[in-house]
Amino acid sequence: MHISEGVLRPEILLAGAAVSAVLVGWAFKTLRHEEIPKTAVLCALFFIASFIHVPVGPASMHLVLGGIVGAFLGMRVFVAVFVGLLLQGLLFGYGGVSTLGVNVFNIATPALLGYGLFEASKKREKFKSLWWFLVGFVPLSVSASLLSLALALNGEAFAGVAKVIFAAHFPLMVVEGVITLFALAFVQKVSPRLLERAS
Amino acid sequence: MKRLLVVLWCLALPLYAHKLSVFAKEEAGKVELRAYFSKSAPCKGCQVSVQNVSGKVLLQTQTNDEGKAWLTLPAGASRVVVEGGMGHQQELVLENPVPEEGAALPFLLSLLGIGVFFGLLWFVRRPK
Repeated sequence: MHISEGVLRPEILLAGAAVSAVLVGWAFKTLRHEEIPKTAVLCALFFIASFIHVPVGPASMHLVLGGIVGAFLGMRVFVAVFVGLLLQGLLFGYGGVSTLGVNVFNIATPALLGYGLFEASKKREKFKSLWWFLVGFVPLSVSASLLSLALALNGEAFAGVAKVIFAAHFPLMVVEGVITLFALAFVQKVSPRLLERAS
Repeated sequence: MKRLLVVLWCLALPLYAHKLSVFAKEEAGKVELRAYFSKSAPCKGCQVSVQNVSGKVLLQTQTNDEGKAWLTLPAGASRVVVEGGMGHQQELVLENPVPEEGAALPFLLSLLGIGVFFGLLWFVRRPK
């Protein structure tokens, strides 16, 4: 899910950095005091999720959990993803500082869809599980599409890789959907107050 | 000419027979490895070593009479090298290298970093 340094063309890196800087800046500026603990916890969750590898065919992929972080945080997801990816880039060499903008955009923007889907699910009584599944499934599929798109924009040579990456993420989308479904069902049961509307 | 080709082909056969092939199946840090020269010639008692990124040998073992060996990958394992003798060597680069033991430290540091960062933010943003 992370694009490494030295792969993308500078135009793409700059565009990603500019858009992410605005979104992350705005999210930081409007972050309210009482939201900070929740943001910190979900940032840690996002950070740890990247270390859980799910074997997919010959390779393995790690969880992203963008959808669930988005469902809890709303717009603050940009803060959590930014801090998580920055630490991963600096200390573990996953992604990197130059690609931070593109990676934040790829992961955090689709996570907002998780928030939208989750809010929509609250108004519904039927098929709640299906909605919660989609909270995990849709953001990751959009993230994988954006990742593939970034690679495809990078040049013809990457088009093949882009397709493979998207296809390989499909099983992970299902896995994340199921994890999100159970996580939300659990939180709903033990602490429904946490699921109240984020900002 | 045809005959010459056949002769050349026969000469080439032993070369094929001597190409060392290594197959490995990895599951949850355990590797089942099979080394052979040809179908009927397993690499018996060949030296197998597990190395880290910089080539340091972490673990050594030998294949059995069927050319098989079972390994448990130690921390830091990044490739497996099989020596067939007489200069035949084959190496496998692991797709999922095992992290060095030191990886726990940056991990804890990062979590601490998250805590400190948001703690400071919480302190700075407290309502006056």
